[in-house]
Amino acid sequence: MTTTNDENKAESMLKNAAEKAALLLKDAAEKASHLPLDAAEKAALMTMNAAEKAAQLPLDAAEKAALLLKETTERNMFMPAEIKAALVLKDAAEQACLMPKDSVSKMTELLNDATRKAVLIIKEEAEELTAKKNKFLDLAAHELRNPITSISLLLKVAEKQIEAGQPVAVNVLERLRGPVDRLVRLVVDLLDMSNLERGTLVLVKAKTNIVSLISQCLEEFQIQASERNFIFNKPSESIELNIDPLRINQVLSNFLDNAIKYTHRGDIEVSLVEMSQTVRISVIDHGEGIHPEKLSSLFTTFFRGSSDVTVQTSGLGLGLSVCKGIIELHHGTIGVLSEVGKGSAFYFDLPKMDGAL
Amino acid sequence: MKTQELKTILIVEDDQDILFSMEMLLECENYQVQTAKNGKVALDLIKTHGLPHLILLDMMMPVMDGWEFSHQLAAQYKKRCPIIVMTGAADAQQRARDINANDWIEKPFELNKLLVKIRKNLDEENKCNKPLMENGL
Repeated sequence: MTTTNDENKAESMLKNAAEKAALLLKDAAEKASHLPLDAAEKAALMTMNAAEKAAQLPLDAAEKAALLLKETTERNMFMPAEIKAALVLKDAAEQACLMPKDSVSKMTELLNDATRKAVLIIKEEAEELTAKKNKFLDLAAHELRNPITSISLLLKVAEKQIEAGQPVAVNVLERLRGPVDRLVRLVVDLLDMSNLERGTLVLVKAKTNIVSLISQCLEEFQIQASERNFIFNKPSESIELNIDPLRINQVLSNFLDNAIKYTHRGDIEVSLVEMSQTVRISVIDHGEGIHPEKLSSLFTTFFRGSSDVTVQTSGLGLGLSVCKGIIELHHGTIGVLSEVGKGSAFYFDLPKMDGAL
Repeated sequence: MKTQELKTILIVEDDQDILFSMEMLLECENYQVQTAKNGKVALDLIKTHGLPHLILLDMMMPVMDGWEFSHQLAAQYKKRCPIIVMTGAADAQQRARDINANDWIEKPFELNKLLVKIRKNLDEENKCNKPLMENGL
């Protein structure tokens, strides 16, 4: 009788503790993705409490709690650091299950230890992110202030000319276009990035002939950069895709812009290759190529290549990460192949239309 | 009747529009202006033409930034000329301190404020000579 009662009591205690632990972990994990540092510390405390409670319960309770702990962490932690942290916790929980019944204190120690490790992982990631964001803000300040300074000084030149009874020189007015465009692009990039991060960037998809989209884009670039030669290996037949033409044009323009900006000579080729499930569009330059260790960070936010010409795009290193976001929204992939001394090929693959072609 | 020698100002800045307009505006103020798009070009200019009377220095530039430039300048030349740091960064003052600059101005700036700083620094540099400021503002 008493045994059954005790078992029931333990069972319900376990259930409560496990449920609480699961809730606490879920809550903490959710908070951690918004407020990295604070939440990481909170999550630490919560997980520690949950782990302690779980460890104090009878073995089968601990076992179940461990399982729950493992499941919850796996289910609710999306960020890379959180997954790493969850794995540490999971391992510890599994080890705790294997321990003999009497080693509750050892179990607690193990779980606490794992929790501390997990917290450190999340904290380090949060600190790295904060440092990156600070650096980004510095860059943003610089990139915003420069065009504003240009506009203000160029207007001053115009004022001086008017004061002196002269007409404003055409080259002064022409020069105003550059910094104004740069500010516009900067603001557009920032808005795109913020929409992508929030998941509020919406594609306006339509059946689009990708061949003519590329041709049109190249025509514009040929006018803009008349000193460079653009080659398009056009397929004989038109290819229709279900895409947002403006956004795909934005990605292609960004690739072409980079090819002009970061290479000084040589043709710029665009190729379109049909594969079984996808269509690959590549922009190939014959520049200096990119070092292998830099390749992986190219598409991450804040990365910026070095160039000795005045940077025409926002210069915030948002360009390629925005492109990546746009292509991923299309369920496509983006990438680069590069060889130092030979050049680079930036590409994106877009899925073919269902049933079409 | 000796005409006053024009003071030379070297602007080191990677933004071509800022370089263009500052060159025009400072020439209007009777300064002789040299321009360089980065620290390396500036060092080459100094090598050819000698030290200017004053340097306006941007900090974030490709090829050679403001820190490296001032470091090289100090290593290569015993004589110093005043440096005014022009920067778009939030920590302008700190950056000026970093390189032991005489003064700093945050972008975007008012031209008049910069002109006052230029005059003040040229004046201080020129203390032993007879100060003869005749700028008409």
